[in-house]
Amino acid sequence: MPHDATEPAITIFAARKIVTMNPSNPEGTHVAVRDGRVLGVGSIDELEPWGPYRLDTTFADHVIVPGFVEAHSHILEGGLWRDGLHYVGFHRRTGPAGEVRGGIHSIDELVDHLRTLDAAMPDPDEHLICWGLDPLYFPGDRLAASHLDRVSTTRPILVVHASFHLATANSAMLAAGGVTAETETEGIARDDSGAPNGELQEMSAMTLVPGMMALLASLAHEESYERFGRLAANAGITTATDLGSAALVNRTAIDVADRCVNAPDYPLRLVLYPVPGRSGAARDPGGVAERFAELQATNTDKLRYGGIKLVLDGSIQGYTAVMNWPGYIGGQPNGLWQVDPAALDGIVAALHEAGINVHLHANGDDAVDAAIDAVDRALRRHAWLDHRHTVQHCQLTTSAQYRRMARLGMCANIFSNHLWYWGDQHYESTVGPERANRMESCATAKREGVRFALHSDAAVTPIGQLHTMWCAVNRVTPSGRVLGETERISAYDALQAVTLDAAYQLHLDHEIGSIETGKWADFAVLADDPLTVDPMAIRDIAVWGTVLAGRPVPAAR
Amino acid sequence: MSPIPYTVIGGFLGSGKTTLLNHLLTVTRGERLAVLVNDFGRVDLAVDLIAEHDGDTITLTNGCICCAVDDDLVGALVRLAASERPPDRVVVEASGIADPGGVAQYGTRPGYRLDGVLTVVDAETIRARFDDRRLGPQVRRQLERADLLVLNKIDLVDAPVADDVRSWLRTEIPGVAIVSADHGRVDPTIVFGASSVVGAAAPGDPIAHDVEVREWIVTECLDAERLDRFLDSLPPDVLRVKGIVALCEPADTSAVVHVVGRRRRVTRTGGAASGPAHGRLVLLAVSGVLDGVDRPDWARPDDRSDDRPMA
Repeated sequence: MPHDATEPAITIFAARKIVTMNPSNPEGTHVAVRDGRVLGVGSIDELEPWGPYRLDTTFADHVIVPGFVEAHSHILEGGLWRDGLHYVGFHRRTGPAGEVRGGIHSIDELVDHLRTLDAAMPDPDEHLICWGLDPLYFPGDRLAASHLDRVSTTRPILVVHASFHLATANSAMLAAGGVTAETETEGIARDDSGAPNGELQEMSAMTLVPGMMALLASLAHEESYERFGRLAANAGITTATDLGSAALVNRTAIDVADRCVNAPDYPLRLVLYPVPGRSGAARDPGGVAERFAELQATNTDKLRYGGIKLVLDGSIQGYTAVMNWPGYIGGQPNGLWQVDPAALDGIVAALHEAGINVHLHANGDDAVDAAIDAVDRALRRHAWLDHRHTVQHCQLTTSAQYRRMARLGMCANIFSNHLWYWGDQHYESTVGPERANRMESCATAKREGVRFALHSDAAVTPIGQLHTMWCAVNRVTPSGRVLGETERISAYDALQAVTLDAAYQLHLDHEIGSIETGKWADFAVLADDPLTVDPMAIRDIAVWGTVLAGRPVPAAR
Repeated sequence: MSPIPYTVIGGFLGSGKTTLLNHLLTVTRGERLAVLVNDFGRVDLAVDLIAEHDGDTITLTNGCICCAVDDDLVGALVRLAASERPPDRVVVEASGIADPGGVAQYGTRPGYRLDGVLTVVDAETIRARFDDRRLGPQVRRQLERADLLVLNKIDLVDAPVADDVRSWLRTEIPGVAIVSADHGRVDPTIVFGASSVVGAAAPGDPIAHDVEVREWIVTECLDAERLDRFLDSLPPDVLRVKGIVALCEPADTSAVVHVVGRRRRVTRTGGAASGPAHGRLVLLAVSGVLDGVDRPDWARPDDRSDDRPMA
């Protein structure tokens, strides 16, 4: 029944099942879309009154859920997949073109793999740069220049470790950086004779070699956006964040984001949370708020400036998270504040009063205290109740802290992937069994009434919300442990965390996060239903791709 | 090309780092300084000093530049070293929360020479900061990693309080050199060395009396141990020692001496000191401190005030 000669304005997608995350209309078999938005979900009969339509049966055997929302990721993940950079991690990882890389289990496997890469490089002077090495799992020796020299003594080689706090260079790379026994930089690991052994610790030592400088330069490139968009779409994500954008300190970052994300074919909505300059926020929080308002005025449907990110502490596995008593189980010194907690109050208050959503990176429980205190004090001064300020990572948050967060209207974004990637280390060496069992305590957050999301922190772990769901639902570690059985949540709660509740903490739940009348037609198209498969199979569900504003975006294969 | 000296200015938020940097940029003469700050937030230079402001770089009429590095310190250092006219010295402002010793590591890159770490201390608030449950350990680290402490805002506390803070600092951070200042006005020779500042302090300006200089001609060759023994014997408030002395063994070699507070670097070079002398040493210290330093029998005073050895 076309109303004119052209395509009907309405498309109805048929599916095996549509999970809407809209409690008043939880599922259906068809979804009608017009102008990029949802007209309704139901049976074909229920949707016909909207008028002439085109029926699209591409997804007839698939399950449609709301497009996944990744509320803590970094564009960096895209930059790491640029040509010339090679992933060599322990866990396999899928690249933007669907290529599977990594799965390196020993130094010998690494050397073999690097030999293959070396042989495929026609220019003998080109540097071979790798990332993601996870020697935590390697038996025996620490990786050294002598191992990499087995690949080549002439081509400079650099292997950056997964933590990004370490790198190992071969002799040619050390020579290219002028690193000798006389170089005094702390963090140059040495052999018994005092000669550098190839391992470079922390940025000041790593950036001595040109391979690291090349890697850092490449991450700022606009191809990072392109590849990040592909990676996200491949994982069923329709809205992601760059939580730590440089837009407040670097004009180029603004232009690149605009050019890439606002292009019609870009397959993703992107929400930017810039970090203020290192000292600017404490000195002039009002100025930061003003500059942010200017950025926010440029928001489009696809590219938004969502709020501001503040970093309070470091990481638990790096022993730089700031902990309350009794601290790390091995007695390591407490972590490092990245902002003066006393100055934090003033910063949060100024942003809060300007109506800016603040996301606070806090891993250790003392850092979480500082985040909650700052929001509490800001609320006493200024009654913006719908702020949705969010504790990011929120890994060791106690139930008492969740009770305060609930009353203050705060959200949590929980780093559930840690349960898999570092769960055994947390149990054995960082915080010990009891606290490892209550890390990423989603059930506690829910019980105490805090809306929470789940995240990958890509590139720290690979982007993919089926994996973050799987972790929160199963809480298993590589050694087979279950960390805190009572903190497991249902698949439904996990799906809500990576759709509607992730959208909520970005102040976008009125536009995305569920499939219902009026919202954007943003879907993840899956081969199976995450709510009914064996919970241990959630992460293995194949992703067909996404639909973004009604337009199908197939995943690369 | 000789490496560019690299100085780090550390200190907690509000201790007066930026004020000190503004002061240094204003008083330097003859030495082209590149000051790297995180942002221009509080850099506050007299308009008539600014020759050009181009994005992240302010060029001063005295040849100095001030750059905002936006967390890309390495990139800035690489660009400066590769520029057509590299600066004579780089001074980096560490963020108020940072460990200046970590920032100092970038000064060990090829092309640079780490000269020293100065931590600015707020005389009024330092003890409370030090005892702060949350930040105390990081404040302590900023002091421990310093070669030299600038006890700032000395005008805001009574003399006995200042003395108390000084002796407390000496207990907590043994061996550290301490120089006092108000409004960040340290004698620039502390940062730049004795030779490169001309007319920095106007007569009658109290800061001119903060430090004194002693210049010696070395009359014989030394062995390395003898030199070390001498340097060991100096009191902590000797802020800088700079010089070159001929070594007896092996012949035809010299030792270049750079001391900034607690940091000591003695580098051997080929070629003996020229002329009849076996070298020169310049000592810079808080006023009065050198009164207690005996001139060794291998040195004699250099009275030719216009013939400073390290120009």
